[in-house]
Amino acid sequence: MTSEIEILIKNLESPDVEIRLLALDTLSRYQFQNDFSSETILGMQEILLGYGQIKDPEFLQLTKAAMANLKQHLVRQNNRSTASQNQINTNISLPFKIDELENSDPKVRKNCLIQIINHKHTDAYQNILNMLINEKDEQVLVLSIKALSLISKRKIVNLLHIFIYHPEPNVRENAITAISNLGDCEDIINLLLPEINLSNPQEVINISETLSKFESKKILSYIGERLQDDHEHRRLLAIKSLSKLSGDEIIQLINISANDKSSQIRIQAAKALFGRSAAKLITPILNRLAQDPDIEVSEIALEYLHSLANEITMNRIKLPDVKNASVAEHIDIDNKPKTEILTEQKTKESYLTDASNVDEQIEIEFLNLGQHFFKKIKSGDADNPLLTSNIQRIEKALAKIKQLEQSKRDQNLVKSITKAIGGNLNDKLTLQNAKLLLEEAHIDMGEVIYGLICSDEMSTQGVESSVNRLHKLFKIRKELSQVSN
Amino acid sequence: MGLFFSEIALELQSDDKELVHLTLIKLSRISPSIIEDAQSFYLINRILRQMSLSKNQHLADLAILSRDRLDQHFSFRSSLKHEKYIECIEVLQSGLNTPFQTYQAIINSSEYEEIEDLNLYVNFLKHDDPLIRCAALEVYRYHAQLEDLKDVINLINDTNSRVRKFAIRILNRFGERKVINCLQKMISSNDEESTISAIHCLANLKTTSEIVSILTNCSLPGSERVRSEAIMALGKHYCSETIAQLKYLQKDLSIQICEIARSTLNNLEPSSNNGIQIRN
Repeated sequence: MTSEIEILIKNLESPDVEIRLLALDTLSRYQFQNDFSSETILGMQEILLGYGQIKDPEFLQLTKAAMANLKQHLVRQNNRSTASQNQINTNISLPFKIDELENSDPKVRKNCLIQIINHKHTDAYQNILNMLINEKDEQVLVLSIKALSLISKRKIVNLLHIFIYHPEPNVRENAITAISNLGDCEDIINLLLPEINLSNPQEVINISETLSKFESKKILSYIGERLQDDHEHRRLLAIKSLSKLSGDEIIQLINISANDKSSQIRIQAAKALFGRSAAKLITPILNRLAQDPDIEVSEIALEYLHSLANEITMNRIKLPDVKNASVAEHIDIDNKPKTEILTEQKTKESYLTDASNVDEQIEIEFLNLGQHFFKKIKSGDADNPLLTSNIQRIEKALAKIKQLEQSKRDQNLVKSITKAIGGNLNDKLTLQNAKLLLEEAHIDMGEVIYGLICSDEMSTQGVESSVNRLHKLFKIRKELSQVSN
Repeated sequence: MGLFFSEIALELQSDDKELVHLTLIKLSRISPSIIEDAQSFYLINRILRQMSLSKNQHLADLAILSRDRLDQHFSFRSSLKHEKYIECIEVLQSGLNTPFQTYQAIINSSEYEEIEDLNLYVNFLKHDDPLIRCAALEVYRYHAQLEDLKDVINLINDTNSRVRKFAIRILNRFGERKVINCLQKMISSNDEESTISAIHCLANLKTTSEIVSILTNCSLPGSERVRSEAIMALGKHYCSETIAQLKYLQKDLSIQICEIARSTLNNLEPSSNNGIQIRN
């Protein structure tokens, strides 16, 4: 391998999007030597396949071009090798041994999967399924998901569903992408929506786009049916799906679950109402749930009634029709016709068209960073004198929470009686405020850390994805500020 | 958390064979952290048990594998009341049943929480009907103690592949170490039948130096019958130690042993099937 290629590979894996774009551009035009190692080519294909769902059109185009160039070289290499063996070359596909999927070396299995992807070998379907029974390697799993989504029919989403729960984010992300591409409306609602992580902007953007392929009416009517299904678990899944969506129609549907005979579903209904701004619609439902015979349901409802007063709002997924309406409401029309502006917005992440939404996502990322580094610093894996005051603040807040929780335990009996006779929320409020202070301290520390990372004073190890999201969010924030100016 | 055993149970009962196949593979990858209604485990267990007896070999194998994996994560839950259990026992003791009634009574009784005495089921392990042998093994799977293992050891050589697989499930429940210790104990006993059963079992396990060493010891002077069985069992474990021992036994004082050793050595070849791997 030449040093030139080593640099190219390094750049293809760079966390910096701009560097990756340049590397892809180079790779799409690269003239490979005849004797260039096919293993290195497969390695580069693996990097490209690992990029996940690509939204940016330029990135997508360059990735495709680079992939095509790599494939072309492999085919040329294969043609040369078959010609040298004096064989008639009728098949341009590379030598491919399906039983390599059973090889104990994950590298061999990976290369085999790349070949399957390159040539869409549908006959490998059964072998991949057999391999998946015992497969543990993360990269092999990612490539298997990609291969299956290329060579299988819609039904495969039933299997891919299991990978949404995989501990490796890369595996989860690829499974979500595959289900989004292959699944129908019902699959998206049943398999994806309940599991979407609302604090991950990319997941929210992706699912919003996927849902926009279907009519809101169809989505809501299907969820409405599931809310009244005979099987309790299906009703539970339906209310979990609803908890991820925003809009007044959603609240009306949650009201169905709030009357469900199962207390588990009523609990989920109460939870689904948390952080919604439509107080007029929510309050009567929460008031009713606060009187629920099940103590857990009433406790949650009481807590959320309080959150209404605090005006805590949570970002949720907007369904297509609702979303378009909100875009139309927020944009400054100026001299442009409405339709033109809507077309411009279409390419942007619909979820992040509102500056306050972006700010909230930035705060969430800062919170993650703060929490991550606090743990690291406490375990002695990181240190920076500039963070001393932040650490002290977090420790103070933690001590306060510990103290409050201890007194809460001591007064457990008194509290139970108080709850039974109508409820006094003072102790809960104090604890909640202490938790908010802790959250703020984490966010502030996250902000300082992000500054240190940007000035190369701290390592991004373990938080690369969070830092990338922050770069992206700040970029969007900047664009939004320019639009409003 | 987000998967429901109750939903998976519905998928497994679908007429769509492809969906059933995919669901079985999904089940083989399930861990407790992603299951929301572990209390419905009995539902899945029942369906998988039925599938593991099905004629479709591929689905039956997958069902057995999934059951083994799930058994590692989810504990057995009784779904049979005491009165129902007593009814099953009465049916089994009456001896006037059709094979299907016997099968049903054994299978149903296996779902009872605490079966302490397995004596009633020993004879069913030797029943002519493989389904009844499987049902009895199902009882052993959930209720056998280590000392009961001797009852089922022979069944890993059963003529019926489903019975063999049900028997292996029991060995997997105890794990390789405990099984080997139990087999050692059987070999050390004065009961020749018991020793030979253990040797037959060792012949079918995956080759390890420990197994070869146990069989080598059994092939040393002693009961001619035990020695002969041990030599033939060694023939299923291709390795340098086996070759050396068989060459040595060709010079044995017993003509019969020399002959068996010679014939085993002649037929010895690396096997693609390395025997049963018991879970650790």
